[in-house]
Amino acid sequence: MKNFNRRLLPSALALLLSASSLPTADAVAPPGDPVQGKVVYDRYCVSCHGVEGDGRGEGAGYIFPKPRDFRQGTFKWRSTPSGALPSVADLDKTIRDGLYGTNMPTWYVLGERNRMNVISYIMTFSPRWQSEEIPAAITIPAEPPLTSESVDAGRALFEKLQCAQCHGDAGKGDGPSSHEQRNDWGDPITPADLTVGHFKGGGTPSDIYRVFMTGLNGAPMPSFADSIQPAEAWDLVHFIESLSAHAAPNPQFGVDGVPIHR
Amino acid sequence: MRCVTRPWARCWGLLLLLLFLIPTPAFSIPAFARKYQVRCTACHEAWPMLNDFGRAFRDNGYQMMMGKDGPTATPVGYWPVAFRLVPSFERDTINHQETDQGVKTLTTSNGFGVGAFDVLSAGTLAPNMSFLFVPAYEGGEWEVESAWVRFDNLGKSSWLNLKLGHHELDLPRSAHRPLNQTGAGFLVYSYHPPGSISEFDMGGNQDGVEWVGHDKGSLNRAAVSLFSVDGSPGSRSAFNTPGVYFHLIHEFLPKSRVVSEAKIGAFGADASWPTTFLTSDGDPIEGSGTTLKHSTRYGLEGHVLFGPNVTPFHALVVLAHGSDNRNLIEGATRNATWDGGFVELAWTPRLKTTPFFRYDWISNGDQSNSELASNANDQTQYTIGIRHTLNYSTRAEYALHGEYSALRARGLTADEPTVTSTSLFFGVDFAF
Repeated sequence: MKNFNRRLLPSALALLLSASSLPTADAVAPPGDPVQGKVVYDRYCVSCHGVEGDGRGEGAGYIFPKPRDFRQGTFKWRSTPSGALPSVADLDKTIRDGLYGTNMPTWYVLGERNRMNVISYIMTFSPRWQSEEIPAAITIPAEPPLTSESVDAGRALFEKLQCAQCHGDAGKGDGPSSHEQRNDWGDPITPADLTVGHFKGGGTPSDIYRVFMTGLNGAPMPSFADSIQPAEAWDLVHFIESLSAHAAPNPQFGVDGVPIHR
Repeated sequence: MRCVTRPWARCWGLLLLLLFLIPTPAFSIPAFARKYQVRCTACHEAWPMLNDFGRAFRDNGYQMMMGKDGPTATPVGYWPVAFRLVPSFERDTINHQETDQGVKTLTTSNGFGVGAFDVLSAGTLAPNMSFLFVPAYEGGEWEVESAWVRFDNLGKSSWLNLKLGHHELDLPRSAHRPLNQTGAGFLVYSYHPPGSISEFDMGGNQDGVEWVGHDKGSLNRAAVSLFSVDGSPGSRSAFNTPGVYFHLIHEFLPKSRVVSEAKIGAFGADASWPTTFLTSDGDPIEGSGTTLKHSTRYGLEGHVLFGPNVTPFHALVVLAHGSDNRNLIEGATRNATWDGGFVELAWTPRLKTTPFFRYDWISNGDQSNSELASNANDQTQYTIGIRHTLNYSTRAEYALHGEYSALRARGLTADEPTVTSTSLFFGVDFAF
């Protein structure tokens, strides 16, 4: 009984806090039922993300990269500008599709209701969901044609922006500073290998574009929204795609191979 | 024990009891939990019964498909092996048992035991190539319960998965992952009319090849197995004594707060068995059988999950019809038919606790012999129990288990009494 109470206490307090505190005008409305979401979380998520949502579950010590700490409301994979909270759709995409190359599987089979409920519970871990609003997703302009000139321009930009410092000259994630990278929690983090054909944030050209323009909150990957133009970002997308032109498509859990290339 | 006259009639009660007493091997493989750092609850609605995620994981060849499935993606120290043991107390009784000393009520088991000891080795040999190897120690002997390799996602399609080896058929409710421990229930999987020489058990593992196809999340799935019937004395036919099994299932995810999930499915099996043999000194020579005759069973299943499917009240209904060719039954004048099924209710209000109930029945249709009463050997069985997990983690799980079952089988003639056998079981089920 003692253990039971100790384990439930943080969650109960979080739920109580979310239920009793007066939300500001900017509070994000939960898309589901956080009480039911806790059950979903306890069944599927707690072993990695921890009882308190701190990313220190019992399995976290054996996982690389480390599970997300939900308490700061900091999420890598978003459609919203750098530093902002993610949208519900962003969180749902991560849960539904998983993150290739990590221990986060696709939870497609949970169904939408369970996913919305667990997102609502995840929102109880950070006060940001009570005090901030979710900004609109960034605008992604139509993709220009893929040409060799665009790829060359992207390569030049890759050099100019010193992407190779982390990602390496060939994009293999083995740049000179690749071994020094840490996330906001101090955990080691490796730059993406851009040649393998798998992208955690999604494999479509728009997904890759989005990463350049939103950055990855909590990770060293910055947003370039203020330093490059949309056309330049597309050039970079085309160059990045060229690095993995011969890689195998990214299979998904229970799905036929989902091509990430055109 | 030697049965002289109407051998199947006199031994029937004890045969039933024997079936009843065989502990049910149950699969839950903590090696996967260790590999992927998930708790047992991620894959099991109530251990060892799989949930949707567990089924999708199994259908995908024990893979999460996130680039960390192959053996080289795991730490060197990882070893794909788990163990399972159920120290338990069991008391079994049977009444109206004919003995040389008269009709008796027997207590056939009344003490402590350790059940079966299963070594569960499973995982991937390479991406999209999975395996399961389960040696089990029981009754002083080792037995290979499962041994297969599976080629997954052939042609990058989830609709093309081929399994080769000693494998479990794709059943409406796995006989290897039931909630009960005593082997009670699933009569429709193994039932044969009185006197049938066929021992085909749909719930038992078979040697053969299985094709499984499924869509995203395994909401629609199909499976077909071609196999040599396990336990057969053997024949000179291709595939020895061939059998075939199919299973189709479709899952609905209604947008209702009352019903979170529903499934309908159909299954069927046709299994052959030799009826004539070459003999040596009058004894049949194994592997020399001919004149294969068939027993069939087919049916429908329906699942409904009430409430949230993370803490569901799960109702399952299976209805089946079966028949054995008259040549499988000594003295038969016609094919024997039967109807049967089971209803299973399992409620998991909290992740750790699952009370359950199952009712099985067999109702004979055409008896093979006019000597037999129309309801001869009709059977009913109910099982009620509860499992409470004391602890689970990404390493191991252990649970308390209590269960009571009662099987009633009508006599073969009007003057034979109904035989009732019961089983009371308490144990600690642990897997590491």
